[in-house]
Amino acid sequence: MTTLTMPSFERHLLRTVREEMKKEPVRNWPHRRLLLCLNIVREIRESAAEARQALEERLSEGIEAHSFARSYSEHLLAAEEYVKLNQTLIELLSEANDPRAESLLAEFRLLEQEERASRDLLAEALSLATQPSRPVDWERIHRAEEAYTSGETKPFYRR
Amino acid sequence: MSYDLDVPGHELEYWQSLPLSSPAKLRIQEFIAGISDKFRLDPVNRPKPHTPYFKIEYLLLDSNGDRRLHRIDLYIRDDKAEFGVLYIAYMELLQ
Repeated sequence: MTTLTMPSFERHLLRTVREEMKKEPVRNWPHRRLLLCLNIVREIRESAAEARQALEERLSEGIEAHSFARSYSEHLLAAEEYVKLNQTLIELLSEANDPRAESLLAEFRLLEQEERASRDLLAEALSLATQPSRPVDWERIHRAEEAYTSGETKPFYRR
Repeated sequence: MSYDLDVPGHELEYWQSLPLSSPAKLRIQEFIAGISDKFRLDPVNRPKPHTPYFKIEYLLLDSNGDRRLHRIDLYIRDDKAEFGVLYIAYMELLQ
């Protein structure tokens, strides 16, 4: 089953990349390390795209709002943290102004887009799920009672 | 248990006017029809004690329609639940 947020293992990988960038500019990296890093970021982006798709599918199936909020609230913080981590990596690479880092920078930007899309969808869904209900419209309840009493009801769904 | 659902005529018109795709509407109907006793009888989901009403707040991404998120709140009378019938008193699309 696809997880709905970035697994912690992949976050650790990105933190490791960040630490390496801080220790040593990408221009000094061996070619093999740069390639490995590119592949890791691509794989993580694919995983992030799958996670967003899983979230979209879950929401497309429909879900009771409180149940959704209970199950998914904790994921928003992780998603926020992940977007920030990507931003840090993009800043580090942008500041380096290094032609060798261009391909890596492009990959991180794509990953950031993917993560932002997931985070935004999750944030919107949680905001909607936790929006307070309007007060019960007892006037409409009363009208429904009248229709009920007078037999003016319609079939809405049949098993 | 699954329920038959009834609705006042004027609420059916409102339902038909909602900007949701047919598959999205069917999902909502199926969810209500399949609602569990545990949810229905939970005091948290009953807006006023000692009245035959419970409430569902339902979230859905209309992937067959406008591809937007929607929430619909439904107030449902359940005094005929034991006979397999729920009566949707009214519904409200919040977004």
